[in-house]
Amino acid sequence: MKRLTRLLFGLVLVCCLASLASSATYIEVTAPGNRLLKLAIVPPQPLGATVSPELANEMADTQSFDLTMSGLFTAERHDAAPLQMRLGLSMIDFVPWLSAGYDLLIRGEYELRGEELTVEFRLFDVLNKKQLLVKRYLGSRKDLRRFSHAFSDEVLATLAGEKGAFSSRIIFVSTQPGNKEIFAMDWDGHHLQQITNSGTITISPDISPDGREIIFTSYKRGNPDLFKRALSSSVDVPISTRPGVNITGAWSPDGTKIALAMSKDGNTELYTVNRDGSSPVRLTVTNSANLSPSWSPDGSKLAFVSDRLGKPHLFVMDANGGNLRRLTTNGGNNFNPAWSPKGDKIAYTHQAGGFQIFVINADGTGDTQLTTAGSNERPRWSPDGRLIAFSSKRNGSEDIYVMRADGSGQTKVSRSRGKNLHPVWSPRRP
Amino acid sequence: MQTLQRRSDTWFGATLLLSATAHVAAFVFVVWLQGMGPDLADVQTTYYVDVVNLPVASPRAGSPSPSADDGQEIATAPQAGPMAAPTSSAPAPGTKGPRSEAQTFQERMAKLATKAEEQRQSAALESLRQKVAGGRPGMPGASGTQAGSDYTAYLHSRLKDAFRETISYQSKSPFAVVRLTIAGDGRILRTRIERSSGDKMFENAVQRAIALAEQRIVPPPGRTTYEGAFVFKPQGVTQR
Repeated sequence: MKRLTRLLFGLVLVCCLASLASSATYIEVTAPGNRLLKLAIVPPQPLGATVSPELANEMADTQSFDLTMSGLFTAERHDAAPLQMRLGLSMIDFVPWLSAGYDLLIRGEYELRGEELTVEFRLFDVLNKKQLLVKRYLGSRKDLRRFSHAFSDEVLATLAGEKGAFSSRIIFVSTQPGNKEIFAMDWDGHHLQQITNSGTITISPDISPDGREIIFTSYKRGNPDLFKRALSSSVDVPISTRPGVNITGAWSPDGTKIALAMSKDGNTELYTVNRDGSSPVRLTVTNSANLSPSWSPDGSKLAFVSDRLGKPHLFVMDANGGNLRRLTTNGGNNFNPAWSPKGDKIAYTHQAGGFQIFVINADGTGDTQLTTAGSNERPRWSPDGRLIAFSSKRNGSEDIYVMRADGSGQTKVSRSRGKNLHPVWSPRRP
Repeated sequence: MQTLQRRSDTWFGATLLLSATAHVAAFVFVVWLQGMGPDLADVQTTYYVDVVNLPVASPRAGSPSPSADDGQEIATAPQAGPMAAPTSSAPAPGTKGPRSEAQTFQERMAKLATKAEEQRQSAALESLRQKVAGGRPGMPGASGTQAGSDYTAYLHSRLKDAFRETISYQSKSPFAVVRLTIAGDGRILRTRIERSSGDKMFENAVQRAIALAEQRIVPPPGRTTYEGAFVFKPQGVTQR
C-alpha cells in the first residue's frame, strides 16, 4: 500500500512537472497593426461565343464593393490576361500577384446563352498558391448581381468564419410615388422594388425573421394602424387597429410575437401581441410615452424609448416587462434603439443639435458616436452585424446610407427619387 | 656447475648473432624504403605548399554572412603564385638535392610524424566539439547554413517578421496557440492550432505567417526534427 502511494505521488509529480515544462515553452509572437487583406478581382472571362465585358465588369465591381465594405479587405477590380484554358484546368501564375502585394485573388468565368447565365467564381490564396473556394451559379442574366453577392457572402464565410449579408435586402420608406410607401432594394441600392401602394402614409416597416412578411403602420383607415403583408402578396392584413396609435411594431426573433406601442389605454405604452394581433400583453405602466421596442437577439429583453424621466431615454427591460433599467445617461433625446445581432451593442439616435448615430454596449458602457455629418437617424444592423443602415440628410434630401459598425465607410446606397428613410435590414437569403 | 657455465656462453653468442642479423635487416629495409622515396616526397611537398598558402579556417565559420572586414582580408591575401612556397628549402618535385640520404630520411620521417600528429589532434578536436556542443551551430564546425545557437529564438524572429506582413483580425483580443513541427530539411511538417480565440481571420493570418516564414527558415540544428509551441497575438492587446 505504501509503495502504491509513493508510485501515485511520483506520477502526479511527473505530470505537474511536465505540465509546467510545457507551459513554459510557449513563445509569444506579436506584431503591430491590423492589415486589410489586399484582394484582386479579375472580371470573369467568357466561355461561349457571347462576350459581354459589361457583364463581367459589373460582377467584379459588385464583389469589390461588397468585400471592401466588409472592412476586412481592400478589394479592387484588376484586369488580367485571359487564361488559355478553362479556369479549372489552368495553372494560375501567382508570382505577378504576389509581387503586386495581393494576398487574395478572385477569378471566374461565365457562359451566356441567350438570357441563361452560368458563372463560376474561384478564390485563391496568393501567398500559399492555393484555391480556397469555388462556386458555380446557374440562372438568368438578371441574376448576375445576386450571384456576385452570394459569392461575396461565401468569401466571408471562408475567410472570416461567418457568412456575409450581401445577399440581404433593405426595406425602407420612400416618397418616390408622392406619398410614403414601403420599398425594397438590394443592400447596395440595386433592384429597387415598390411593395405597398396604399396612397396614404405608410411608415415604420419591420420584416419577419424568415424574411417572408413585413409589418408596417399605415393611415389607410385614417388611424395609425399596424398591418402585415406577405412579400409575395398584395394583401394587407390588419394586426392592430385598436383606438389610438398602433406604431413601431417589431417582430420577436422567433417570429411568434410582435412588440408595438399602443395608446388604447391612454398614453402610449408598450405591448406584445401574437403574430396575428391577438392576446395583447401590456409591458409598461407609466404616465409617459414608451415606444420603439427592439428585441435582443435571444428574445429575452427589449430596449425601448421612454420619457418617464422628462426627456426621451433608452431603457432595457425583460420581455415580460420586468427588471427595468436605464441604458443611456447622456442628457436625453435618445431615439430609435436597434439591438445588434450579436447582442453586445445597441445603436441609437441621439439629438445634440442635429441627430447623430451612436452605439452603446448593452450594459450601458462604451457610448460612441459614429456619425458627424448632417442629420442621421434610425440605425439598423445588417444580419451579420458588420454594417449599419441609416437615413441621412447630409446632402439635402433624406437618403439611405450604409456604414461599417465602427462608423467608417459611410456610403449612400438609395437611388430612388424623393425622401428615403426608415431602413430595415432583411435576414439573409436562405 | 662447470657444464652449466659452458652452456651460458653458447647462448650469448647466438643472441649476438641474431641481433646483428636483425640490425642488418633493418638497415636493408630502410635502404629499400628510400628507393620508394620520390613518390612520398612529391606528396609531402604538395601538402606543405597547401598548408602554407591556403587561408586558415575562419574562427567565425558558421556565420553565413561574412563581414566587410572578412572580404577585405580575402582581397588583400597574397596570391598563390609559382613561388608561393619559396620559403621552404624543399627541393622541387621530381628532383633530388645534393644532400645525403640520411638527412633526407630524417626530414621525411619528421614530416610523417607531423602529419600523424595533426590528424590525431584534428580527431581529438572534433571529438571535443561533438561532446561539448553536440554538433550545434555557432561552433566553429558549423556549416554556415544553420541557424544560430538558439533555434527557437531564431524561429521566433522569422515568425515575427512574417507575422508583421500578414496580421489581420476582426475581434478585440485574438490569440492562437500553435504547435509547429519542422522537419530536418527545414520544411514545416505540421501546424496545429492548439487553442484559439475563434477569430478565423486571425487564424488565417497566423497560418499565412507560418507559410511565409517557411520560405525563409533554415533547417534545425543537426538536421533533426524540431517541435515548438508559439502564442500569436496582436502587439499591445492583452489576452483576457
